[in-house]
Amino acid sequence: MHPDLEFLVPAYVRGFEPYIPSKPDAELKTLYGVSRLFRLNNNENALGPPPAAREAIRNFPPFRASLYPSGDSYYLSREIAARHGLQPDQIIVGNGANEVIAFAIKAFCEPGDNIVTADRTFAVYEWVATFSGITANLIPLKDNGFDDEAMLRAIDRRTKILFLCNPNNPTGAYWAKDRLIAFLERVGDNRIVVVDEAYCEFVEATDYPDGMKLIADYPNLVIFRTFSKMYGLGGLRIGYLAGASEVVDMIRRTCVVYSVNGLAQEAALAALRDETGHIERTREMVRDSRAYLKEELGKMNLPVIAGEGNFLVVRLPGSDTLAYRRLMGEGVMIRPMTSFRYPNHIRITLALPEAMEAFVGALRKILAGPRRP
Amino acid sequence: MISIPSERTLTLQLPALSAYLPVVVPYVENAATTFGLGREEVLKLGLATEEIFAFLAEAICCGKPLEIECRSGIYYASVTFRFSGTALNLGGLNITSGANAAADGDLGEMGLLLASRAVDRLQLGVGEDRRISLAIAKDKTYPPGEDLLPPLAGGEAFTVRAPNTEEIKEFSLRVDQGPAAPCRPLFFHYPGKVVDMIASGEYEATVAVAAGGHVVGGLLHHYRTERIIQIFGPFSFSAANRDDIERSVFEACLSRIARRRVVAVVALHGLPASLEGDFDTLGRLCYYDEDGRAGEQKTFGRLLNEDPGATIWTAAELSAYLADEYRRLALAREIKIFHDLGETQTGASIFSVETLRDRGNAILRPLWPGVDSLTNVARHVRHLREEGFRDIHFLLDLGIPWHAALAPALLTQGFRPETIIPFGGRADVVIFQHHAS
Repeated sequence: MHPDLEFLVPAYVRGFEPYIPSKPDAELKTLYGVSRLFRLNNNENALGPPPAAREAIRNFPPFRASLYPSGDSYYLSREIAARHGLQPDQIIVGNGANEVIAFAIKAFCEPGDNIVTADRTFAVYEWVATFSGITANLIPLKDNGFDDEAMLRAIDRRTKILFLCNPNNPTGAYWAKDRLIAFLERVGDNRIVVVDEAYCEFVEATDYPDGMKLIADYPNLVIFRTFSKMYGLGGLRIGYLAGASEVVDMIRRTCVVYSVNGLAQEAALAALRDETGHIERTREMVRDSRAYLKEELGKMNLPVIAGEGNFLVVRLPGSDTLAYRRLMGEGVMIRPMTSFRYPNHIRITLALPEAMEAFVGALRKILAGPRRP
Repeated sequence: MISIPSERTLTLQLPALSAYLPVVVPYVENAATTFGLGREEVLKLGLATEEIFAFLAEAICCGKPLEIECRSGIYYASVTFRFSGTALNLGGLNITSGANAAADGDLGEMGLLLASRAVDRLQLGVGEDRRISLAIAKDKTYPPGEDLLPPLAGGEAFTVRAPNTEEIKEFSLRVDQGPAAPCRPLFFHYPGKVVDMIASGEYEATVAVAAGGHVVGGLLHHYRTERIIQIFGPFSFSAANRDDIERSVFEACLSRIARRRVVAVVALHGLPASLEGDFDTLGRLCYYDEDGRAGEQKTFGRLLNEDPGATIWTAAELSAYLADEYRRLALAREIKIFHDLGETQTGASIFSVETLRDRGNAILRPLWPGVDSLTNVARHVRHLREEGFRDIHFLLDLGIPWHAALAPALLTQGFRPETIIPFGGRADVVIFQHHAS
């Protein structure tokens, strides 16, 4: 006997391709026959978590693993709120920013509704919408940035949420403060605008807006942030959203409590309180690596898309997925960008010099080889 | 992968008894007529149905429950026979079964082989629960596109998008009127058919349209399997900006499919030179014309995501070829050798044959292992050649250990491994091609 999955499973779920995560590093090293692997594919912080967070992780009592964590990340949500002049009920902490994306879509959308976002941006907005039966209206990027006019034109009566990624992953283009405010004004009150600020701590541009400060004036604005990037806690899965109390109250109804483990909450709290200059050290590393890579890739005559964030994108003369395999053979893991709708492009995390030099050396080697990607 | 709307499907359930033949044939013919097939096509589909139903009732699953599904694919009508193969001797399902009787003039026992002559496609499948599906399809007849289109000025700015009906026809006509290409699918000669192929949902098109409204390029794609998309093109009809059109159309196609349930794109009918560097060369396939002359076509493929690696099974005879090819393609594979350690095998092997009459192409796939693999391969080749099939392919899924055991028989009978399709089945699929000595 087999369950009748055609009957049981909605067509929008059956037609969805499940994301296949990479195998563990040890498996990949065996498969590709390499003894070391530089991970430059997930925009992780090569410096790891801030010292205070490391200390919190080291000091976490093993017995606490047997206790349920705070269901609403009590202390962490208070710390986040206080740092941004908000109330704790304006914050929801989730099991990574991916989880809060799902919370938001579940809260506001039902089948037949739509979201509006870009075609070449972080994929999870589109994925969650699609496997929830929500249409994702994807607006082509313009000059590697969001096309605000086209997004506004795409709004219809079933549009519930507009997703902006600021700065955009993978292009690094960002919404300046004046432009974002103008966009929020034109959207009006009847749509939710989500601004995903996963990479905000890396941004050095002076006209980059702090979305948290705009919530008071724009109660339909929801901000996403994560501890996975700058704070180096990707392995613990923790992120959060912030918005006006009445909006967050609605989103909270779709939340799964206890989804954020206790160790993640404590490490994140410590990361926020770290005063050792972690952010500045990371920015300096990213700045140096970006300059180094731009110069080296320029010498290879490869076009580069580099904006804000701890990553850059380079266009290759051939297939990005072949480049992935050949670079893996050299012990360097990058992100091929076909699935981001940037065929023949790869994204590289800006990391420590040793990894950057290994990447440049490997890229030179495969481009000089008999089957250049 | 597309799903067929239920309003285009009819189902009849009955016992497989010859007495019901007068029920079955009118059911299929009436369904096919309703689906829009012409009189001649309806009669041929009815003839094939009669052959298959009689064959199943007499030789395969007499009296057992049988489901007969008629489906409109817009440009074709198909009939699928489904029944449980548990506790049945399925050896008779080989298309060659009964062919010796045909040599003696007893066409009544030819079953599948005779049915295959009346239809455009025939395919046999076995599910994991040993549920058998035997499908035949008959295409509608379309008038050829004969309007000679004027050459394009070329060099115009263009936009890329999904085409409307008239644009599909223009695209198809211009492909058909392009330079001679032996591997070009025949359907481009019938623009109305291409329109219906797209309307069916099985195919999608992306075209480049110039400011003046002319179609200056395009690409057609369809799902070869649940996870593999096959492309035809891209084609450009403007020499002045050929490369730009080809690349723009291809990248627009990739954008459409980038986040779908697809792991790779393959181009088995060639690629424009401007895009060969964007693909891996998977191998080659030969195409034999009616005079037996061979043309060769490089085959291409491209993964859409990171290669997650795979474990594949092979016979020792094929391991060197695979190791070389995987090294060349930079695919991470753990190669395991299938060893025959004398374990007992019983019963007859079964091969599925997909016959594509218009191209003279027959595609064999192993469905069931058996003791007679070598003779069964030889029998299939002999009969398919006699039936006029020029290009005979045999597909082995390297993710299924017992498939590996067939490689020696294929090599002995004149097949050579020519192309690897990454993730074309449970794991990678090797296309063997038969080369007549």
